[in-house]
Amino acid sequence: MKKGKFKNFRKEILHNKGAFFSLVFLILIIFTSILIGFYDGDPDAINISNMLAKPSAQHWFGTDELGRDYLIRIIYGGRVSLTVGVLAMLTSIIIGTTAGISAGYFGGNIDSFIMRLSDIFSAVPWIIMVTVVSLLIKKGIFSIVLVIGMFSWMEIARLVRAETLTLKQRDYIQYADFIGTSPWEIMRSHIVPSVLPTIITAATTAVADAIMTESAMSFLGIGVQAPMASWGSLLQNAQANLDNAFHMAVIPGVLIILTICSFNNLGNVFRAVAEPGSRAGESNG
Amino acid sequence: MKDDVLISVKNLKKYFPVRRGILKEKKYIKAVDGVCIDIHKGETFGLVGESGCGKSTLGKCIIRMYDITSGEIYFKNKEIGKLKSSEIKSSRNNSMQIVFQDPYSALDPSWTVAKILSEPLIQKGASNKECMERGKYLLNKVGMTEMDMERRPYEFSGGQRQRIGIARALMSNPEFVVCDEPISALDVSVQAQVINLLKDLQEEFGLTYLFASHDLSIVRYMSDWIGVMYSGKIVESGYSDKVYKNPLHPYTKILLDAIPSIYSEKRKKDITISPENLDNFSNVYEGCPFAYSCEYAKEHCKEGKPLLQEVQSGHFVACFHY
Repeated sequence: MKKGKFKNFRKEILHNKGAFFSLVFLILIIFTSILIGFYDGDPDAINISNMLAKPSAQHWFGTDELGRDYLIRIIYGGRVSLTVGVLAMLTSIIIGTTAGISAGYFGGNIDSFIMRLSDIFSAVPWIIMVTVVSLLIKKGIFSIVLVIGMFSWMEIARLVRAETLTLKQRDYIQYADFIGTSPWEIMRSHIVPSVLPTIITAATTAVADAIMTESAMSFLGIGVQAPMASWGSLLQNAQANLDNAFHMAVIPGVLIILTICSFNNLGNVFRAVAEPGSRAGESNG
Repeated sequence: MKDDVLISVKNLKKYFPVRRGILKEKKYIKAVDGVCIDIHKGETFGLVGESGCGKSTLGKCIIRMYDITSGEIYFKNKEIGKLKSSEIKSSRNNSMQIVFQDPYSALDPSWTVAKILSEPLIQKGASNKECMERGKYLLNKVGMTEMDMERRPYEFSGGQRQRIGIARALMSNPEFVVCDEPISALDVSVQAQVINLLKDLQEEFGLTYLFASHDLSIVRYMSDWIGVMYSGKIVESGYSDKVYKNPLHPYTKILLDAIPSIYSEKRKKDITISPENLDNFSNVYEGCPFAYSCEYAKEHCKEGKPLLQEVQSGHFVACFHY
């Protein structure tokens, strides 16, 4: 089945041009982020004699208001954005899957408690929650990851719970319970593999959402702290120079949009492969 | 005769609650309502009845896959009906097993056959090697090869999956196996193979079966003793031949008449089931559950519940006419 699904995935990618470019774009971004690790210059080195330079052969994207090379800043910013996106996705997947499977499998009061908790988390606008919590805890990249993960697990929990509820009625799960397999073992060995396609699909969307949230937080000044940059904080810094250096706002903005669209595109392909009922590309071309 | 009773069920009841709002009265579906049966060692107890009459529920209650509402279940003269589910799991030791109706839902699609077969034994603390050996042995017994150990359920047909399900049930060397309509999801040619396989295994391992099905001819072929179920109750039971040759309960007569025959005149009339019957699980009225569809029904049939009584030796019926 796994081989068959991989084949389907390849076929879908080759046929769907949007998805193909998304994949190429993401691979490009990820490779650039990794390769920049070999760059031995200091990305935060200030050069006051060369502030707000226009794009040139030496500085492709020009320099920022402190004379730092903007291309290098963008790539380092992308590194932070992607890292935060992936780690926050993992956090929310782990919380969401655990909560969803427990709620669906145990049912009753545990189910009510977890799902009401998720309702409460969903009811309060995330930007308020994220702002309050990030003001309370120590600033840093991992607290951002934690904060984003803590406030984005509800959707995944709901999806996983729904699937667990139907799986619970399957004979093989009831049989496992009948012969005395422990609930923990049933969840680990029977339920998790079965909900994996759902989780993978949700994960791609979760990465996109996390990058978006991180950018918004950094734009508001509660995200990564200077001199560290992310695409969101670069966008915020660019505000001051909108009149004379318009490209400084456009570049990180376009990169955020492209990255998010790419992750969402891939998510659609994953969904189409995992559930052949819904075809990829129908919702967003 | 009494000595070789493996399973004895006394007045077993299983009600499923139907929630209809918080303030409203709690209602129940009486899936199994006061069933008494004895199953003898090495024999097959055939359970027939229409869809939804409680056959599967009865089977799953006996092996304590479900908790029961009330009643007693004796397995080898030991009461197991009132044990808590944690106690039953440790004490059962998997001497009771089940073969499911739907071979597509009975096996985890992402597991290999080796892992599926090992599952019941691993729980008993067997080593991986023991599991593999017994798995290969039983896979051969059910007509498959060792090569199939590393394959996954989606690579097999329905009949092959059902064989894997049977092999899994036999892994823990059980004494009693509930066959919960094991053939109704299979096509006719495969049905025959699976039925013969079950018979052969019964002889070889000395198994006792509870064989539930709505296919009357197969139940007759399989069973030594038959129970006819209607609306959660046993309405007639007896030696297989006696029930088939001389059905006493009006419902059994209709059921046997409904077997399709190539001789059209043999089929006497169309069966009419009155609309009251659709609601018979909530048991809104007292009396014989079949009274509203029965052509012989008299007034008193709708008032009192008939009890199962022996009208001939080895032939019981629950009807006021006998």
